[in-house]
Amino acid sequence: MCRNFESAPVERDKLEALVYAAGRAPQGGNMPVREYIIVDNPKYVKLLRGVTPSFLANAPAALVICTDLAKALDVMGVQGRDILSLLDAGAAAENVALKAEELGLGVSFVRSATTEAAKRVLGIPERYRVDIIVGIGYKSRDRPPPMKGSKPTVHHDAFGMKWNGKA
Amino acid sequence: MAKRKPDYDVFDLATYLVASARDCVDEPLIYGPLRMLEGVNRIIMMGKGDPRYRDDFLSKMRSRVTTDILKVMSDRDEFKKALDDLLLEFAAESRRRTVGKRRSKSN
Repeated sequence: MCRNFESAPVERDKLEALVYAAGRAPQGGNMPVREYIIVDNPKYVKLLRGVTPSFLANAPAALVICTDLAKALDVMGVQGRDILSLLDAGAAAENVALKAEELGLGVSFVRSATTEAAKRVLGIPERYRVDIIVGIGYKSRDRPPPMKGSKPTVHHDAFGMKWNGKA
Repeated sequence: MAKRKPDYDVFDLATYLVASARDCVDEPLIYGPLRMLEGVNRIIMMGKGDPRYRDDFLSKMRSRVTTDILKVMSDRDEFKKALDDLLLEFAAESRRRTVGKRRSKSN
C-alpha cells in the first residue's frame, strides 16, 4: 500500500481501466450489486478525506466501492448481503491494486467506521454500503519503505497438522 | 504580501477530530494515538499559513510526527518508543519555554 503520493492527477483513461479491473472481480450470484464512485475532483477528495480518518494518504483520486444492499439481499440473501458482497468488494479492490501497479500507479486501501459520513458528503443513497475506499495516485519517490511481511500460518490437510512447505 | 491560505482550517480540523472520535469507538486501541498524531500534524500545517501560529519547534517536529505516524502500521513497539521520545522532546521544550534553562532545586 502506498501512503505518500505525487500531487499529479490520474488520467481518466487510467481510472477507467481501474474500474474495469474492479468489475472483473467476482460477484456472488453473478449479479451486479457492486457500484463505484470515481472521485477525482479535489473538492470531493477533500470532503471524503475529511470524514475518513484512516484516509491518511494524500491520494489525488479515490475509488469508492459500494454495494446496493437492497439488491444484494434480493439476489443473494442475508449471507450474500452481509458477507459475500464484502468479500467480493475486497477482491475488486485487489484487482484495482494489481492493475494500478501495471499502470505505474499506487493505491491505499481505506476503511473507517465513519462510512455513513462518507455517504453523506458524496450523496450516496441510504440503501448502499460503502465497502472500501481505494486511494489512487502516482507513488511519491519520497515514501516510507513497504511494511514488513508476516509469515502465514499454514496447516496441512486439517487444522493443527504441520505444513512443511516454505509458505 | 498575500497571506497564504492554510492547508487546513479550523473547520477541517474539527471535522477530522469528530470523525476520528467516532472511528476510535470501533478501531483497535492503538489507532487512537495514530489519529491524535495526525491531528497534531494538521495543527502544525494550519500554523504554516498563519504567522501568528508559526512555531519553529513544531515545524521541526512535524517530520517526526508524520514519520512516527506511519510506524504504527508496521512495528508497534517502535511506534510506542517513538511516542515516548516525541513526548520527551515536547516536555523539554515545554520546560524551556516555561522556566528557561534554569536548573530546578531538585537537581
